[in-house]
Amino acid sequence: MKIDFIITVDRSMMTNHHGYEFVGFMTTAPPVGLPEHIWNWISMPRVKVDRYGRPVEAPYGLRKIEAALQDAGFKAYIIDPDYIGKYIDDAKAILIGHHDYFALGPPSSEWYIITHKEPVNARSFRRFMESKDMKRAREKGLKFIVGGPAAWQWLWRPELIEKWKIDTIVDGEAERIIVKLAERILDGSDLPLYIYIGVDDTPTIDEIPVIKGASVNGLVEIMRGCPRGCKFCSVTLRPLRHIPLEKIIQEIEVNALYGVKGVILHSEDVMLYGSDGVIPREEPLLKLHREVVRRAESMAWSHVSLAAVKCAEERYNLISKIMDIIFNKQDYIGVEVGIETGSRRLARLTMPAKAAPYDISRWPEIVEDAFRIMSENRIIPAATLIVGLPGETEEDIIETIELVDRLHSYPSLIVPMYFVPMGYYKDKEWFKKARLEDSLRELGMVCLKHDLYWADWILTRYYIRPNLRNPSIYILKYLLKFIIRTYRRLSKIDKWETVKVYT
Amino acid sequence: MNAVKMYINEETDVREIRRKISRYRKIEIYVDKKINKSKIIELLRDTLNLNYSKSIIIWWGRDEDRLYNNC
Repeated sequence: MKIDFIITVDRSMMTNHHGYEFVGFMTTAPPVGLPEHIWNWISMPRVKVDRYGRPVEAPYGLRKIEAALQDAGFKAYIIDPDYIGKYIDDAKAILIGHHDYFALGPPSSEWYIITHKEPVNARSFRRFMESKDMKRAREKGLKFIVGGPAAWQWLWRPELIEKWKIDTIVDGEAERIIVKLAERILDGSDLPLYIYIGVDDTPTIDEIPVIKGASVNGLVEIMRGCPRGCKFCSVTLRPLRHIPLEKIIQEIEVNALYGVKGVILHSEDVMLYGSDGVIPREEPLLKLHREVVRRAESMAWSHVSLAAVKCAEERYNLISKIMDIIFNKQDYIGVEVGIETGSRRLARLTMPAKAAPYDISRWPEIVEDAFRIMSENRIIPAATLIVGLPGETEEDIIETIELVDRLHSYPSLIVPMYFVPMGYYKDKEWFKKARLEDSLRELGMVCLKHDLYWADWILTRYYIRPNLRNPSIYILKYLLKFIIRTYRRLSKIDKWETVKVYT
Repeated sequence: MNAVKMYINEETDVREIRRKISRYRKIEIYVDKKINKSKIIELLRDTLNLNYSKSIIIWWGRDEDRLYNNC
């Protein structure tokens, strides 16, 4: 098979995390208490490939680039990093996309600050770029295009652009622009060093192609962009687009064709699918879930907003109705949510529309209500807090700690994400410069206790259910339990009182 | 007028770059080969302050003639 464009990435991304998306978060940390190779076996196992070295499952973003190029008639395929050597002699370019090239994004950056050790995703990427195959590709003069959600990180490591002979950095939604770049590469024309794709150049719904191969753990995009406009989030700069149901179904069927029967619906807010603004609409959401459940063996949501959860349930009992559909296939669903802060003052300053259609002054109450609704409906949230934002006071952090305390009775994970000012990244040892104030340490401990309390329960009861078809999952479960229980013992978490479980 | 093309060499005043970037939505920058890639990336990063509301394209190693010849 001859390939002009090799689309690839290092192992920390080219993996399905044993089929458990949340295990993928371990790639954002350094190996703690385990040798790196065991940590990597847990978090980034090799993925199945066909006889050409094409992975059965690959990151969704890479699948979109592959589809855009194939639709335009180019010989472009995603190739597993262990197999790229077979194609270097004939290929014209290597295209790489990543979530976190240098571990500068959350939560990697946070682990970096706390442990002063480089997370495994950055180690894995460096090993990949320094590998024999990549060196040979550089010697042969292949072009290197880098992109993905972490494209911005190259601006903070400019010396590596020259060292690794990167030709073009593409920052933004690349489905349209990648075709023009591919044409230039085949023509032998010069390439731009950097492209930032602004609103005017983002692809329309019609220009977003349907994936040609399976995505990791069946992830399927249902929306792009977000209407809430939070100041700390770049997604809000993108125009809001809802992917038509027919395209969503096509992608679920592509995944199924390659044996990936689970579905992760991806959106910044699944509850707003088909809505005109921030109020969920019953009809498109119920239709979407009926169609997905009819086709999938299991499903998950990527993100929902807490305000939309509360609004959907209070106005239309919509959470209960959707979960009734989902319960036909499974007995819980996992999702990421953003609490971000427990401070009303800070919420008003940084995310005034996060609570809409409710007033932002009610934010902590909205968070509690949404957690209660999710718990009653067996939805298990993994929540983020953003701490260390400019202007944050001791008082704000105390309000956040109090909110986390009030959420203790709801099965969930709560992870503080430490805001790192961009300027810090100029210094290679930035993680030593960033210091956690005492109040932030206290918040971190409160969250750690919450998480260690619930992680074991969630893992045992819902998340990982080994079966004889895949015995390595027994080992995975044992290792994860070992890590959680060791941390519990060290933090004396077992002495906490038992709390009422709503589910 | 929404779009601008500009040429940067060693003598270009950073304030001029900043002014143009703040005024236009679509910015195409041609960079003289004498400025190395790291330098222009650092300049861009610090000048833009990562304000990603615009379309930006940077051509490194293109000379000024190509800017005016619309290549």
